[in-house]
Amino acid sequence: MISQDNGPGIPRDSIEGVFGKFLLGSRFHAIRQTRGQQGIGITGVVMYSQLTTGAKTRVISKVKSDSSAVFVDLGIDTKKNKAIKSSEKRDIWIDERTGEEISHGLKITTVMKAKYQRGKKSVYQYLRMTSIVNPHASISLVVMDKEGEIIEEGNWVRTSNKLPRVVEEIKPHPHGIQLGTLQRMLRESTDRRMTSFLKHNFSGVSPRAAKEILGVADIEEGRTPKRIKPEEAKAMITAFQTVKLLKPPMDCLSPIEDLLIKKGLSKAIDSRFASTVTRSPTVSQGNPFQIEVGLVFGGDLSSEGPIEILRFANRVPLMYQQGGCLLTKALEAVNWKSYGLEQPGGSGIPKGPAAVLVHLASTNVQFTSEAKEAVSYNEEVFDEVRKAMLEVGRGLKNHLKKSSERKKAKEKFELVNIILPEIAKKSSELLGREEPDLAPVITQIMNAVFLEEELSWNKESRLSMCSVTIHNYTARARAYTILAKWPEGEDTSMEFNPRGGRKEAKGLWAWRLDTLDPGTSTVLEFGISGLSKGDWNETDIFFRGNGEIIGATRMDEALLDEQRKAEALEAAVEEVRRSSAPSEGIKERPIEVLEPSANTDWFGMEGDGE
Amino acid sequence: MSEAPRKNRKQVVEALHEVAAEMHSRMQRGDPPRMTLPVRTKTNISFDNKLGVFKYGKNKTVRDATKLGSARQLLRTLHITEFIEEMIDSEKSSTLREMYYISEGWGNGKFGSQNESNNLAEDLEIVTKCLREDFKLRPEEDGARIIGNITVEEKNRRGEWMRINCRDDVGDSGYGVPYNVEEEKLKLVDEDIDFVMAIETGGMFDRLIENGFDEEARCALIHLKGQPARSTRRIIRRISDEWKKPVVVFADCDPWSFRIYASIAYGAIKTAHISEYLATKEATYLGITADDILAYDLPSDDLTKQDIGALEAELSDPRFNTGWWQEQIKLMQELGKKAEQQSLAKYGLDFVTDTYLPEKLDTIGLGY
Repeated sequence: MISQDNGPGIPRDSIEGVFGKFLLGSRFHAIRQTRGQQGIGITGVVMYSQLTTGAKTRVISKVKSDSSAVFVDLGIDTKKNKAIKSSEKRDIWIDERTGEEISHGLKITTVMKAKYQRGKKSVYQYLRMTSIVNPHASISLVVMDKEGEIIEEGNWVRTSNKLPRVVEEIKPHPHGIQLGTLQRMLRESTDRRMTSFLKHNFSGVSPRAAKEILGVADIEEGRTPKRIKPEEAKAMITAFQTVKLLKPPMDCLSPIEDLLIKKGLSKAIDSRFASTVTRSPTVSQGNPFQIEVGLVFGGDLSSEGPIEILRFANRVPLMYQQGGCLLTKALEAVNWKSYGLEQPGGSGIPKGPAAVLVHLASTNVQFTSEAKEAVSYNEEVFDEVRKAMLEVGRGLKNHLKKSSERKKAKEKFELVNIILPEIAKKSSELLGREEPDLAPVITQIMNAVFLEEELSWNKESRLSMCSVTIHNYTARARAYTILAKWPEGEDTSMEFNPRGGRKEAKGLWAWRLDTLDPGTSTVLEFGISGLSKGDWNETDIFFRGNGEIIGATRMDEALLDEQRKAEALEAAVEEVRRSSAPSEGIKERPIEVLEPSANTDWFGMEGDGE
Repeated sequence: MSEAPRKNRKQVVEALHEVAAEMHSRMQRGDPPRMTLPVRTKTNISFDNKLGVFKYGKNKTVRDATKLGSARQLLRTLHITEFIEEMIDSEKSSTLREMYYISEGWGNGKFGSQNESNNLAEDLEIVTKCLREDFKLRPEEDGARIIGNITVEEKNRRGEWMRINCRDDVGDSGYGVPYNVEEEKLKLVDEDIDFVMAIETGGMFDRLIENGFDEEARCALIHLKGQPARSTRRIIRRISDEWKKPVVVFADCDPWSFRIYASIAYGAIKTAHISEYLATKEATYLGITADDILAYDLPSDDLTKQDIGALEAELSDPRFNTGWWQEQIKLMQELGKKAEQQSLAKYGLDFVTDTYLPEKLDTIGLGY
């Protein structure tokens, strides 16, 4: 097995520790969302290879700042839990395929006796899933048999140049602390007073809250942490739950974000429609967590059998124990029938041409077992997953309703534009009469205003274009205000908009149209910059005015008001946050071109072996 | 009344043009084109006291161009009209199936299925009061076979009249009834029979012939081949009218056989517009009846789901709204059984001709 990446590489002195030693408890020191352990720990690989074949594992590592790469063979001394290094050397590392020097990265070559698994629980599926939640990564897989014949191949190309946000480390929140951890923290503390211990080691504890906690636990503020007795620590744990505390900061989470989920999913699954949602982060027992769900529908997906469920915890695919996992259970608890998917018996995994992705990002993912195969039950997490499912479900329902409306409109257009003129022509020919004027007939048949929207990608201007055509097939003049949803965000803007109009709410733009005379139509166009091709493929169009429009929804003013109020509140909260704690604002890394630097985090190394 | 009203070419074209003219005139007035048709289901057939058969009632359905499907049907109807006119002009005819394939070239007027083209042709018959033969359209289904001492004259493809005795001039398969059995093509010349027996299955038809039943009972045997074709029903009607011979129907005992009888005696739902030319109200259902299953202790099969549904539908079918039929249907529902004609073989190959049929015929006064 050969595995190679273009990551930051591992510094020479850390190689032994990373590959040759089973680490324990590294997560106690840093609380942030990490990739955590991936499948079998790398140490396990070295060990397994040694056990089954007696062979050494060859590691090549190159760190950008070094002039040469490290080449080393590793085995494990199981008694001492230590790596055995041999034939170590430093050399220039040339890529076998390109013939070019590699400036940073890691390559592992190992030999083992194992069964190559295919199907649902395979290497292939693992990488496919990994690529979905890591759209910034390009992954390729080549599997050869003994004769060197390729028996399986996979190639998942990068679809985003945006790196995941670098997560901030946070201190633990008292709500998630267990007695043993607290005691260890007390023991290791260098603080001299309990008040400063609480302030320095925990998040969400204001000086006032610290005093209150100590008061409730009946501990003097000036006590030395090291001297706190076990009963007193126990009293503190109780006090943690009773005293009002601030929520922990949320920037320790790294969600994939809905647009990238959409990209990742559409890379792996050919579908017609994708609905994604990234819920706001929230807290359970002092641990911030965040739920993301993506649903794809139609296209190449099979309509037979249950839908595919893709589960992830901190961007790591969960491939086993689907039935016993909280993420699955929350999905099963949704009434999918009302969202347009079949669900025999009214609960359980729905059937139909769909796939659902669910990602739990958290500083502390609770698994059902050490194997980290399934997420264990937690009411708050369950509730969030369910809510996210309902949201994508609504998206699907909307989409289906729209498709059926669109189909109806299409039929009507075919009727009046193709069939009716042919009826007129044929009947006139047969009778030797003149062809009738069809305009009044068409008005009578349609007797409605039709709206069609089309989203497209303009290559030259690199704009995501939306074109809305409105036909007035009624006998009266009509006047409407048309409102369109668009993906408003920090990176996007309404670049092309000859009709002007105005912003109604976040992501909602409105245009007042001139009066539309009977039998006429008009086209409204606008273009969004800051997106890539295929990013935007579904929108909602609303209207205000008299009479229905087929293909658009009447604007729900009450709902709009609510949204505006929520936005105003959010803005006010943000304002307060910014002025009171300027350093705690969310630190977001700007979009950058993928080029790992020496100080880029090593994915998955610090959380290994928990 | 026996003579089906035929129209000359001009009348047929005029009738067809009326359909096109209704569409055209409506468009000129600014209305969607349309066609008005009687509803063609069992809910809209009723007994015509004057004619003694079932006809379409007053319920009309409007097929108009406000929906894509109906608009397509109107367009197809116009294409059929044009096609029929061409055939009339060039003195050709075509089968319904040929028309279905010809429609491939009609663009948006193309048929979705053979069934659809058959139905549209029937629709046109109904609204124009013409017959399929007037449209130069031939059915695909073959007509019946007849064996018995009757003599007909048929105009062959060279235009000569051929005299055929349906007992002496035919082989074991009998005389094949052509699709057109009107006077212009077929004349009923002579007979020496007492009645006509229409038989559902080929197996029973052949059994009766092998046993010499036609001569022994002095009857003409007609093989219906399942649901009888129009020409089969029409020739039965002509024999009944012109020779005043009783007609009996001998079929399986199952809901579908009851419908075969109903289409012969009362008129079929699909062709209720011409029931008065196709239906033979004097026809009697001889057997096998539900009573026979019990009386003769016949081997029977359980009713299938479809059978049960069909029986249920028949209870509300106005054609079966007589005391005798309601009794038979309910008895069958009670038994939950059905029986085939050939189950009579339980008692030997001759049982049907030696015992069963003589007994049954005796009860309706046709004993011999």
